[in-house]
Amino acid sequence: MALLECVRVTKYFGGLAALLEVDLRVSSGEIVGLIGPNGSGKTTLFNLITGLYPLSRGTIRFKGEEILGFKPFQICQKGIGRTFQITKLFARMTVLENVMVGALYGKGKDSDDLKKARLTAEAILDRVGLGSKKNARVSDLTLEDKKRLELSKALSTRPGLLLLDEVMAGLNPTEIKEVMELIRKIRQDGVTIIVVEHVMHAVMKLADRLYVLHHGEKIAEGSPEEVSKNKRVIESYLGEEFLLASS
Amino acid sequence: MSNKGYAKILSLLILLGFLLFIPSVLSQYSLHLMILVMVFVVIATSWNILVWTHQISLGHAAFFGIGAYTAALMYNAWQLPIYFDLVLGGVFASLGAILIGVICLRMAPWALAIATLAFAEAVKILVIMLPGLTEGAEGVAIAPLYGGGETAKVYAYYLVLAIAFLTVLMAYLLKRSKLYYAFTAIHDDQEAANMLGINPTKYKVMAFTTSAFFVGVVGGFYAHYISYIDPHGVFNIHISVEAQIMPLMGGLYTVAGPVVGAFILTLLGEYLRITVKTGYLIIYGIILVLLIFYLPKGLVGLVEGWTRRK
Repeated sequence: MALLECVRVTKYFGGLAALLEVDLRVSSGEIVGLIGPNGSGKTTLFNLITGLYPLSRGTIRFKGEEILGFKPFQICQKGIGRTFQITKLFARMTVLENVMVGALYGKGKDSDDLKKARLTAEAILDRVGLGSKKNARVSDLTLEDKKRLELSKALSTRPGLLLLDEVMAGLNPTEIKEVMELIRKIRQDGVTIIVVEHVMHAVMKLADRLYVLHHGEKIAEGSPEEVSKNKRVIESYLGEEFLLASS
Repeated sequence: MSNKGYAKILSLLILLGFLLFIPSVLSQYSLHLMILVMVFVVIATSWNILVWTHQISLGHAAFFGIGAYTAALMYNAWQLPIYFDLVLGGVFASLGAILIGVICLRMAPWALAIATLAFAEAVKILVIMLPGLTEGAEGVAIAPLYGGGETAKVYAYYLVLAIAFLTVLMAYLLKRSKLYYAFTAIHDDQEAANMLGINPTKYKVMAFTTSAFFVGVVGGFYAHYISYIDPHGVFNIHISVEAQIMPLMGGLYTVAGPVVGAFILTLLGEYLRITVKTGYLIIYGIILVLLIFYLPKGLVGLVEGWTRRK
């Protein structure tokens, strides 16, 4: 049984189809990449999976259960966590407090125990390399640290499935390498991951399988190797230069 | 506990001791002023809790009035013990808050502010239009608290001090609880909070009803203390305005801010009213504008800035 199953998922904004009949299956333990040009519907798909938007048509199942109509907080408590492309951090809280929120209210639910939530948050911050900045304010963080904090917040809810929306955007090559390593470690902890990413060399190395969206439609799926040779994908997204560079 | 922590507790105990002691040295008039200060400590602290969840109310007078009318009408009808009246005042004010919550809490903060303003006016008009139940625009007379007289005022002071203490204690405990994380997360980014397992509607309604409850209780106290209430007095927009200005001036998001704001603005307003014969509100307004302009984090923020620098 697939961990996540999107069946003929369709989303209209007025008359515009942001997603049209998209099928997607993710099995436990996988890292799945979701790629495509800007406006192809990648983030919209994340917003549908996490309950931020209602579907126009189709269905989404998580662990075999249909999750249509659930609110984002209910979907979080079922075990789906996500990051946002533009980080959504809590400005009046410290780094540690930002992470404690998910520990207190997410799937793990360190219930009413603030001390337990603090320990959970500290462990996550150590894991992502932000342990030494736990008392810092969000405004004092670099972009890379903000991305790491966004990831820590999502991890603090103890997700079984993690949706990462462009966590590598704006980072330099060294930072990208570090984040890739971190994502692999998270998978080793038993978390299944879907990554939306434009940093092609990273996502090609990271993902087990790729889905390619274009104008709201799925135009290809398969291993990174298969997808990178797909004519339609090259024409609409990757470009001939990518083929030359990777050959 | 750190030295700073001990110093904080010691200064709080001294302040509490001072507040318990002053009725023996204050005149009846000054004691009356202190009672008003305590009433506004409750209103301002309660309003501030709402802001923790990024909700703005321009209609806290509604909850004050509902509390006052509930207590007065219940007492006149059944002569219930006063403490029971006060709690009922709080409960009815909370029910009013739930009503607003169900209808309006999905609105943006500015839209909610206007809706609460309209709610307060609507409740006032309803009270005027239902004379069979509320005695309409004539208002309701109620037996003086503790039989009236000088000693009664001292008891009244201790009663409102207890209500104010409980309200501030509630805010203090709230700020150190799991709930504060939900409130602050909703304040800073509701969508992100939702994605971390927090039901924003639930916690916003919770903040609204808690805030309304304490304002309702102190509204009930006010009815008993003043022994006559009318719709224009207890649903007065002045109450809603003070409710926001006091925390703003003292320090939003802090526990001490609304308390400091209530003390200073109640006493400043009264001082100006006595010393400036005409147009004292203009001077009061100018002082407020200057303070808010130059101290955006309030007086508590200013003091915190000083201590951090040291």
